[in-house]
Amino acid sequence: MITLARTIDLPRSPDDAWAALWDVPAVARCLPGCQAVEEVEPRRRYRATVKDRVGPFAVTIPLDVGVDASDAERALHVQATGRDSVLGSPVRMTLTARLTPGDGASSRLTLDGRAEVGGKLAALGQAVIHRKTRDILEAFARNLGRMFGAAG
Amino acid sequence: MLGPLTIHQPETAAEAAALRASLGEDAAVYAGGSELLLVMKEGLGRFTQLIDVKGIAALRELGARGDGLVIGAAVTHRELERSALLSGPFAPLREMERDVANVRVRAVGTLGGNLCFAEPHSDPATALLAYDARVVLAGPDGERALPLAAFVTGSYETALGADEVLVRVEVPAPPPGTAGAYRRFGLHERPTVGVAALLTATDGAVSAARVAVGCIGPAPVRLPALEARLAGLPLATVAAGVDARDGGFAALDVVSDLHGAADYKREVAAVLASRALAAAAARAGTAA
Amino acid sequence: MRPPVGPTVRLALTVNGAPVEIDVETAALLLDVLRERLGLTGTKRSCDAQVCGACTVLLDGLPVSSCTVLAWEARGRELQTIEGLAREGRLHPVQEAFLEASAFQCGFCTPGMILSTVALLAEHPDASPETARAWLRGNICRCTGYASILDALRLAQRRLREPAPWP
Repeated sequence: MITLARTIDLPRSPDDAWAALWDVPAVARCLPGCQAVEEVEPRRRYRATVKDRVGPFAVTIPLDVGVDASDAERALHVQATGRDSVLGSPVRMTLTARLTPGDGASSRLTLDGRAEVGGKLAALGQAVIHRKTRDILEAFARNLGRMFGAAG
Repeated sequence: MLGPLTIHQPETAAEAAALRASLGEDAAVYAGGSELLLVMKEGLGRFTQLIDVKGIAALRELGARGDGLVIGAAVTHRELERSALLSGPFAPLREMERDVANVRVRAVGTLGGNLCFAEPHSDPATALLAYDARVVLAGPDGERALPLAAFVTGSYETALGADEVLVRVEVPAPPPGTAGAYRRFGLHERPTVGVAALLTATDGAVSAARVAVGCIGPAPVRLPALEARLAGLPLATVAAGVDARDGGFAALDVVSDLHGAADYKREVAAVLASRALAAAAARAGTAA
Repeated sequence: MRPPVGPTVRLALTVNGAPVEIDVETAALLLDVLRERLGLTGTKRSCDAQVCGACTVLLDGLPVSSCTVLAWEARGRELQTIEGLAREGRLHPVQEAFLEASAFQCGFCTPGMILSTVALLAEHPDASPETARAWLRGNICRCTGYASILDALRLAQRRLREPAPWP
């Protein structure tokens, strides 16, 4: 299991940032390898495909994404599950994103996520998967921050 | 289970590289097959074409060149473990090869196959890194040489181009007065930690040290902090065992996995480094 | 450059001293050809990852994992399986030693153990216990605890040194 805990200061008001978070294709683009995001039920269910490779090994994971959101709290909880198409390894990711007011017209985005890769894929290259997943989650957080115009 | 398969048998490295370019991702380079066939059996690689490089004379070369060694990519671990060339300052390489996997894997597995697969839990790259070995690759524009450190870029990742083939490994001779050792630890089929140490001695003291650690990070690395600390130390001090724990292990990218927790691996690596250095110092002392 | 081979190929080799010629898929693994096509079921599939040694056969005298070697690699070569050790009804000295030392229980690892031992003693007739252990490291036994296997090995070493008995 790989965890991600990140706080990013955004130069946007909480309302602006919350609205931007619902630009699902833009947010999906922040996840390296994420392609073809499809809306199944607006603001509730989506389908996405994540493609990546480790050295010579290519991995394709169709994901079922469920979203639970609270407009009042400006918080959303995402759960994505899927199976790698070659080995059938289960992949599970959960992410809680919360927006709170910052100083002035800014807000703070708190990300709390975890990813688990199971089955043969994990058994064959645990350390490799661990590093890859960690790198992907960190890139996601970085890209998300950049999307909002955060510094760095 | 596998297949259908078409097996190509190029006669030169240039032919093999051209086949890689023309056949693309459907093709895999095939020598011993000890990693490739496993990958194919697991369903991780769907190859329909194999480029058998065992018939290429340049890849089967094993000999001295100047004071150094030349090892063709298709030379087997068994040939290396039995080679009289891997003696004196190259004895640690033989020591390492003797323990690779098991006797059956060594009978068919090749050095080139091992380096190109770049399995993180593996011995040869670690040992060769301590020797500042070079790899020579053949591609559409001829041959190019690359330091091993630049060739193995991560787990299962190398700098080998999609239209290139590894031809040989060149191991330069270490300076006179150099001796070394290779130490590994593992309870699984593949090693958990591997350390290679080379010491050059002048007047009973370390004039140069090279230490490489493998298996615990995405790729093997040298330990410059530890190497610097050893300079000038009397051989007897190193032979008695130095504490290598602050030799740079804390800064390495180590993750916990079935081979052990990260801090466990760092600790074992430090202990193995100490032992490899002690053995190297003892050998350097007698070789002087 | 020679023409490419496959997806099927005519394989000609020597198996346990006798010539064999069969058409196989280039993708066929040696173990499968031995067991399914040649009926030589003494060689076992166990881990299927060349770790355990149950599939050990000797190719030109060298121990290889038949589960992870293409049958095609045996072309023009001499293959020896466990079935090929006995000669004219007489067991090989290594087989006799294993029997005498009771160096097996379920017997599943035994063909591989015996062939590995044969290869070891052919290359290192005077192998020390350390050399023997290192060589056999890749043959896994779940039953015996290995002590009886090493006893058998020592016994076989002694027997192989003795001159052949008078007929």
